[in-house]
Amino acid sequence: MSVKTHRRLASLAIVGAVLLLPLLAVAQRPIWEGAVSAGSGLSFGSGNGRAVVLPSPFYIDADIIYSNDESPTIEYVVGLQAELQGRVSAGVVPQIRLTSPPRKLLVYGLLGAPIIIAPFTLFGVEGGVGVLWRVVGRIGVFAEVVLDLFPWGSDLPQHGILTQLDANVGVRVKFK
Amino acid sequence: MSARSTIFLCALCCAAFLSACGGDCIRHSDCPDGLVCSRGACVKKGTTPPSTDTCTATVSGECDTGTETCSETAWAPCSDTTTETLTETQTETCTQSATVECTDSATGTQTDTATNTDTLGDSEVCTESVMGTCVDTDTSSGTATTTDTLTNTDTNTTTTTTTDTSSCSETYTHWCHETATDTCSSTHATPCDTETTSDTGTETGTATETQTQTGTDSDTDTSTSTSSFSDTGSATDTDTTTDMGGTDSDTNT
Repeated sequence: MSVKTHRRLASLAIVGAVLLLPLLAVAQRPIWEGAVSAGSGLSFGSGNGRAVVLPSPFYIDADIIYSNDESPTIEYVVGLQAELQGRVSAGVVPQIRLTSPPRKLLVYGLLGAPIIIAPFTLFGVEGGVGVLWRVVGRIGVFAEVVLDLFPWGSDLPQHGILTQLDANVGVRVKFK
Repeated sequence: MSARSTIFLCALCCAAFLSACGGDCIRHSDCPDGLVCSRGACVKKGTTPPSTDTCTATVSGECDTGTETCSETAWAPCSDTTTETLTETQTETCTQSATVECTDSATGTQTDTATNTDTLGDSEVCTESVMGTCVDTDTSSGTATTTDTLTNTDTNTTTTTTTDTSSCSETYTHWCHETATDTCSSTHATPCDTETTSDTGTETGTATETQTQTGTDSDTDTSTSTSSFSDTGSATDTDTTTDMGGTDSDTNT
């Protein structure tokens, strides 16, 4: 291998290092959090030409929340939800949340796609707002108001649409 | 108060008392086992509350059309307390029977009886107009009066063949006892003659039927009806008589 070749390889290595260095420097640090909450509210539907309003079944939620230190105002959430009143059901609720800058008290908006999978099915969309108060260290409490719209699912009568306006409160813990 | 305010207050009411507001269910899982949700009411699977009625109290009965007041509050009170017009269309088969008497014009005696049974054909219409109303509650009963006008115009053709097997008994005078023009051809007791009678007539009738319906309303109406009609008709009879010994011809109208 000639001297000229060595110089070329050295130049490429330097250029590569220069290009990769910033990437290494901005590596995102994941932030993992967990939350549990419980809530209820009102369910709206229609029947025989009139509105039907019923209390929503009591439910609990367990969420895993991911964000990173580069974009701490965007959170990705996967929640497990179970209705426990009048019936027992289980579902998954993926969400994306946009939060205010991380401070002791922050507010956020959320969009999600609740999917009840057992023992019946319900598919819909949801939107809501929440407020989180980081009480101490990694622990915070939060409250949310969520509007769900379920146009599809085996639990709905023909041509029925279920609308739920629910509120829930819970505890949130930062793992890392 | 606006509709929006009403809904809001209703929602608050429901939230306060955690009870149903205006219906039984929104989802199937709101209903007890074995029932499904249909139009806000829990019903047996495969059934549906009547769409023409806002009464959903169908536990043991339901409001049909009419001036019904649903008194059951198991699910929801019936809201159709206003007077509704009951319209009923019924396909009716009208049967008309008449007896036509055929009289021999020569002797004036009845020689034949023809029965005409007439069933309405495709071109004939029975029109039923319901004039009354029903009151349908679990505890109350009502009456409905139905006036049924039946118009029946038809053409009736009756052909009657009569064979006369009477015997001639007037052996001396050679006169048959039946008609003055019959002549016996024999001096012995032999059959006098054989008659063939044809009746051809056109019959036009108008019948009016009045029906009175009385019912106790619990999805079951009991009705009694009386009907009467008058039938007027005319018949033209042509009798042709063939005599064993001669030829006779009678024309009767």
